[in-house]
Amino acid sequence: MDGSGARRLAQIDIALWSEKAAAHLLERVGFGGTPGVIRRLAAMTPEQAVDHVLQGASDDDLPDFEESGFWDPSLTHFPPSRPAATELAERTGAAMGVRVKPGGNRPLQPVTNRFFCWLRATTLETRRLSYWWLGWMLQTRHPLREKMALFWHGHFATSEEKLRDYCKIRQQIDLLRNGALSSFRELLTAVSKDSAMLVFLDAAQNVKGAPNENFGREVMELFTMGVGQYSEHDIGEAARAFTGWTNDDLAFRFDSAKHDAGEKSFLGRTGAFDGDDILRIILEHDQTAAYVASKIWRFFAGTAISPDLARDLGTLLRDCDYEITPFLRALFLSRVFHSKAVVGTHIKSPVELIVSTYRKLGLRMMPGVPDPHSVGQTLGQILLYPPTVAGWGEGRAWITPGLLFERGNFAREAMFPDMIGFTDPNLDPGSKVRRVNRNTNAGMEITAATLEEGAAPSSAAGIQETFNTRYASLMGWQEAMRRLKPTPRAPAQFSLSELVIEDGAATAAEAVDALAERFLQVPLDATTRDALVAMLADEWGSDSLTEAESYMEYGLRLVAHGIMCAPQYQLA
Amino acid sequence: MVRTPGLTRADHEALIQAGFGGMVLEGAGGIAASPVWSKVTGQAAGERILVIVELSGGNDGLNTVIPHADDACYVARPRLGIHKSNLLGIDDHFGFQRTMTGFEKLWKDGKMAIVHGVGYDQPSFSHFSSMAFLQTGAPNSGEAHGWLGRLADVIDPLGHNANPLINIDDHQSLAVTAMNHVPLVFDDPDRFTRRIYATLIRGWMGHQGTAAILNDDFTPLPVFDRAA
Repeated sequence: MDGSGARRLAQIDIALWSEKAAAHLLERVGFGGTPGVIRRLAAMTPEQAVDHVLQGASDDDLPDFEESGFWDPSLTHFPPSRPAATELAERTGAAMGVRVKPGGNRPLQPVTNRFFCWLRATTLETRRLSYWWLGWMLQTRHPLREKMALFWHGHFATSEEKLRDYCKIRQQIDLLRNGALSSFRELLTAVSKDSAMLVFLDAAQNVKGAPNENFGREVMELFTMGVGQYSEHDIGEAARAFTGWTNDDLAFRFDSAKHDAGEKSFLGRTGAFDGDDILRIILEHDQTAAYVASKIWRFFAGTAISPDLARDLGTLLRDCDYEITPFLRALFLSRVFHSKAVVGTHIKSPVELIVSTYRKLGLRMMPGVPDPHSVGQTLGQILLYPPTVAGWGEGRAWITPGLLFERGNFAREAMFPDMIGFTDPNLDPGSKVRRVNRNTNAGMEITAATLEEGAAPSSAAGIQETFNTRYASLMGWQEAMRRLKPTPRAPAQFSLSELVIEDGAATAAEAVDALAERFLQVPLDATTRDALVAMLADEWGSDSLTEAESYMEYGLRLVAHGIMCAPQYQLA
Repeated sequence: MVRTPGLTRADHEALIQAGFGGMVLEGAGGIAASPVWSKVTGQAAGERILVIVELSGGNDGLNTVIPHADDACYVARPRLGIHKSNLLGIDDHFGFQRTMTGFEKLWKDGKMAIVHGVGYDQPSFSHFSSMAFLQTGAPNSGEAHGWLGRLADVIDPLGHNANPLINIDDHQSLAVTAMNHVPLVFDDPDRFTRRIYATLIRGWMGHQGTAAILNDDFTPLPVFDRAA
């Protein structure tokens, strides 16, 4: 590193290390801290504190994900569509382990039911997987690992929607979590050869003589170098090199018959390159370290990054040979990471908002009310379902007038879980399926039960269908819901009263200030703070906490809701 | 919808005055009936609104409005080309793909105009770059503001009109990003409301706490500008 680089990544002055600095560190390396944790970290030196968050502590007591048990080997090579499934069954007599009926009505019905059951089951099981991961983020003693895995999930963005297989997305997330803090070099190769990515970016369609450029393009544009650092010709040559890469269910397989072994010219180099060679050449390129380092910076520090800083971070990542832990160590200890331009300026993503809110409330279990998947959907970030391979937007992309309202609405549901109004989205198949369900429960025959709303019964007279799709959808939903392990629908269990008493508050003003101190990195403006104090005293019917002690919780939750509606609460 | 049982008529009026129209929607009357709309756009009856519909994903333009009189089309597309006999004719040169009967009707009623060949030289094959270029209308320029954003900036540089840019989606499009305007962005007008208990509203309102939420034209607080 040259002189200016050394200065820019100079370490934070130990004199500036404080509870504020420790709180800032905890907000960024994980999902925020509670006063006790902040104090412990502040009592260490900066190096000890950073080493502590880098290493974390054991999570041996946290439960592994328990499958509902939907998958079995007959679901390998799941047909790409319902017509493909029924045609396969007609041709061969069976599909997905289910035979065509030799006689009777609708001989293909069991096969069709099986098709729809898997579609529903994998979607519901993926939601359970995301609930489990959120729960881990909430309770983990190594939050940096989960935060970094969240980064990689947005970086190597893969959506279960296209995979139609919770097993594959689970394998990928495990890969990202286990390797989160190790080596980008190893992670890049592992993710590129993992079945989720191979399916998501069409590896099997990329064959000798008919290359598919999807992976070749995105691996450079999004995962390593950024747009403009290579030519269209490079993309084509990379695609040729990746031919033959495919998967056998969850395992990587190299099909040499499909591989184009010819000479290629890629980024100025020539040779009979294969996929591993392409990744190696990409990693040797200066731009790769700069692009990845900058992206990590923007995720942990902030969206503003000067060209000098980008260059220095790239040099740092390269000097660490793409090892994430030493890179992050230097980043978290740097003066610039703790500078005014960075502290309190990061807009929390929806996942950060949800998990940090619950962590600061001291929860031991991820609430099922409100439903976290639904909250993520409303706020614009659904875990395991990134909108595109480019992942999610950053910073201000999380905030629109509508989304700001919805963040406040989430806060209200967290403070005042609506048990009466809650309906389980995992048990909601939509109105069309509900109608068919009502009809069949009322004893209607299948054809009549599944007619379009308003259609005359005679329009279906005499039809001899080999299967009924709407009925299959109903049967699929019921079967999937019956076998799905239930998501616990307990709301958050917490007491703001205990928190403010612990903080020594004796008046409404002190209670408001205590809550603001716990939840905010950026202080409220005086007007808002005073309004909340007046509102609380009004609600308590007294300014004194002691007088209101037996009923003070409700008023405190109103204050917390108010705080969480504030723009300041969106900042970490 | 938000129910605000504890409010008097006077409270109600005062809330709307203070800019909380979005909180006191009553009934699910949809866009036209929503007080949010009449408040935020200041729209008089009969004023025109330009509606832009952005469709995501790829579309094969040459098989949407087909230049059937141009042989080059069929030379380039021996298998994909749609022939004159298999489309809805517009004129001697062009025709619609045959399922586009709705568009054909609009065309015949004189309510449709078509702009041919929209694009730019040496188009980027990066999906994300291309989208960005079409949303800014300024390819390869580093332009940070969208074409609609720049339009609003030109028409109304000082921001006299409340909310000239409305973006209905779950995230803000680059197309409406402007220098002098903050676009109003939301996904569902019925959900574009803060769910809040009466006590909190009264508390805020009674103590001039309007600054705590949003400015009355829904621009974020200054704290966001500092953070940007």
